[in-house]
Amino acid sequence: MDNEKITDKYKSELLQLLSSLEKMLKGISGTPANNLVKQVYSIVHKINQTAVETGLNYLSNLFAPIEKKISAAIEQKQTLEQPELTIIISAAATGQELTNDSGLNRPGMKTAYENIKKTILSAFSAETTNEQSSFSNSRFEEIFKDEAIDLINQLEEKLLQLEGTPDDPALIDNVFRIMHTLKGNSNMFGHKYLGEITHHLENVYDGIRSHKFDVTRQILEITLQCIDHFRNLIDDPELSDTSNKVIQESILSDITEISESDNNQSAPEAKIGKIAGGVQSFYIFFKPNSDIFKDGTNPLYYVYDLNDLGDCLILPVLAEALQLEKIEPEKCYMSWHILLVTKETKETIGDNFMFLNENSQPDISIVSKTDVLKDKQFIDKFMLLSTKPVSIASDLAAQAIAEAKTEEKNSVKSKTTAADASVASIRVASAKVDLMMNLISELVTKQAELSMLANNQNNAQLLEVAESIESISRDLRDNAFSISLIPLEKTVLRFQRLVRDVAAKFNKKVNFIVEGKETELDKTIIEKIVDPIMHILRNSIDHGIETPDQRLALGKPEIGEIKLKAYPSGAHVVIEITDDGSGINVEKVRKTAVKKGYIGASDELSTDHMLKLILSPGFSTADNVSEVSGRGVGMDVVHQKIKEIRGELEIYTQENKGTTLIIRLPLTISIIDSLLVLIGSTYYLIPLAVVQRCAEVKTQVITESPVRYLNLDGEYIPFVDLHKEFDIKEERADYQRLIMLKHKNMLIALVVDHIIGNHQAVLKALGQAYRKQEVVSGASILGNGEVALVLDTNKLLQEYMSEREVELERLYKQSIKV
Amino acid sequence: MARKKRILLFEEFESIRNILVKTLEKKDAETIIVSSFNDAKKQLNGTGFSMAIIDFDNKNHQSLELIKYMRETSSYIFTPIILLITGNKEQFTDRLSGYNIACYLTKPFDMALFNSVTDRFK
Repeated sequence: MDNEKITDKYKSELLQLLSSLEKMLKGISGTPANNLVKQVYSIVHKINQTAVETGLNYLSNLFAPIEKKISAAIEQKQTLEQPELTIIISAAATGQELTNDSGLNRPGMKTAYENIKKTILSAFSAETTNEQSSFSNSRFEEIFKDEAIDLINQLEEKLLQLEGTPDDPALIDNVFRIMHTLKGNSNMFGHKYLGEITHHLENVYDGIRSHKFDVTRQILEITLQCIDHFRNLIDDPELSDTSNKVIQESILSDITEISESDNNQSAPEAKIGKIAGGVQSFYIFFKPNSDIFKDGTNPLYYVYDLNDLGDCLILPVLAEALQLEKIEPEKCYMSWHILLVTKETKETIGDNFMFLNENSQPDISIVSKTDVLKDKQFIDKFMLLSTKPVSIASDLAAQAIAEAKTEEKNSVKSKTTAADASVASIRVASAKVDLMMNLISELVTKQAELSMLANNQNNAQLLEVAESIESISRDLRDNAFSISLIPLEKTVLRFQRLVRDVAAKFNKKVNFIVEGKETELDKTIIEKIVDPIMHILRNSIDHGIETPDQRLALGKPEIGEIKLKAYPSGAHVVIEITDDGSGINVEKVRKTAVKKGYIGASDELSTDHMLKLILSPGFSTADNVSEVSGRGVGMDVVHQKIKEIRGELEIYTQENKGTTLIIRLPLTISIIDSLLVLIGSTYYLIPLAVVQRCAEVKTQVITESPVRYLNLDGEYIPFVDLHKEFDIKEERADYQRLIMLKHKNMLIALVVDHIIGNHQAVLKALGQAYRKQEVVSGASILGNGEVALVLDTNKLLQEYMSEREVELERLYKQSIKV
Repeated sequence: MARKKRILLFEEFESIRNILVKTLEKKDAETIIVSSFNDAKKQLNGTGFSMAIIDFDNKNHQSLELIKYMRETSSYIFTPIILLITGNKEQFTDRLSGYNIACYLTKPFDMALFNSVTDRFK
């Protein structure tokens, strides 16, 4: 030990402290009072502090855990027990012996030191070792899970991309990096099984990076299986579910098979471990970079830590030709020649210096496979090293450092722009967003009440306040909407994976194209639309896309195509799913419908109506039931689910050309801007997004029109007289109001009694009584407490127009007869 | 009463951040979390820091910028920087040799190791 470096002052101070501690502890009988524990702490703290300041690592190794333990006891208002006091007494005694005499170099001292160190660590460091596992039970676990799921999704996305471009090194690096992060995070949270698989997978991908393996289908299959398993492991980290345990073992065995397919390269772990048999002697030359102090590193710690690995002989050497007046206190002029006799490997010794920069790394070499410390002749020669000059860094190393710096500067420059453009984001639990939306809905309702009150009171000041609050609540609502809107791309990955897996199952080749994945939808709608889309995609592959042979025979490209296209359209979002498969055989649909009694044999239905039959419960034209479709349960559920979120489904098909399913969804389902109207004495709301313009006509224009068309500014427009359709008994006013809407590229007017004005409608679900109709999609409470019904104008006009077609046809036939 | 040590923490993953903050709290250190290079710059220009813990793989690759900035700012030339990395340390040591990184900690790291590292550079 380098005891010479300790000044007499520190030495005597430490000895005094250690002796006082020993005496104090020996004087305690039973359990010490809290104030006595504090006194003990004070002395231990001073010992530790002095040991650190003077670089006496062996002392701080003993007293740092003791200090922590006592500090924790004081913090938790606990005391120390006798066994703990005995250990501290032994530490104080050993500490005195180490400081008083020639430290660890004295015979038997090293063993005594190692023993007390082990005892202290096992008795006092339990908290530190348990610390890691305690995190896994904490609230941080939930955050870890969210982040892990994000990483798993990213991994899945990259793997699917890798399948298309298996030689892309950047993509391989990306996959490796995500796996590594996942491994790191999961191990830190005690998810050992997740960590275990990612670790083995990482080895495989490391093999790919180093060109040991190619990206094969087998590797991708196993990795994707792992991803599915990871999702299970997030919820079942301890493999409580037997099936997960079986999968874990099976996957591990598969990965091992791959990684062992080339035995030339062993896993990194295989290199780590103790040398079988006896000890080896290593020579270590440690010359830290002269700037080592600048990053706060004390090189002495690294030298002292070697004592933990075995027996050492350490020769400190000062730099040659050192002149006192030229010494810079910030620079390190020391180097060390070290002989280490140990059972550890070279790698383990190297790990001791892992925290050091490259240019401070020591040279480690094996001197002998025996204990050279016992060889006096060798030791004598070794001691001469202290008189030899110390080498300096080579020009080549300096040049390499300079090149690395230049590269770094370029890298920083190119990345700055992207970094500046980034927008910080935070993770918020979806339940909190739901709560915020509910509160805003309440606010909007109350704001309407306030506006009404202000109007009734005719108080200018109150009106001004009400208007301001209305404006603020509108902005708040819009902002909250934008928060709850999420892009479709969040779910696209699941679709991609599904297409890949189902296509592989049926030996079909499918190119899945997604357009408009940035299209945003309310998160509630996205959650509900995923399953219907998955079902449609499964059907497309199973029933639509032909096998490669069939496609080639039909003159089609071998690889089929499914396109998912999303885009906003007014107050709606449209999702189109198109395949270039065989299309729906309408005649087959008709025959099945007749056979199953949905229609009569003589019924003549349009293609549109015929296609709608496939949305009937239990309807299937499939000849065979497959694992994924053909059971007749599906499209009716798909249709039902789309209707539940006020969406619509349209089907278009062409035999041998393909099928397109169009899903039209509302942008949001909670609050809408609407036009408040009065029909009779009932309030109705019409979504503002569909309104083109408003007008006014004399009531008799409406009541006296035989064909329900009116001439407005020279344009003939069909109208729907809601007063009449809703069978309102109250008298009409002299004038009726027209609300012009666009429906299938045609302008149609809704006739109402009065237009009240714009209204922010908080939508509420309707009761059971309204379930069987589709014209009214919801209700909203007005400021005066009355209920307004929300009209689904699409349904209303569809219903009306089909009746109108029948009527026009009847009129046409009558006119022919005439 | 000694002044609390202030540690700058730049780590992308909230879960890891929480662990580190909790561990550093036990050492009676005050941890200042930053979410971007600009955020870190604002903090660095305020009260001083006795250590910085930086995850190299932060999104948008701003870690390198932060390290560079610290080493170019006179008050942070000698501040120990602990770099959290994934992958082999060797990939980083050459690139970052000019920045006096005090220590490279490869994820996953044991918290006992983290403790010993942060103790070592106090």
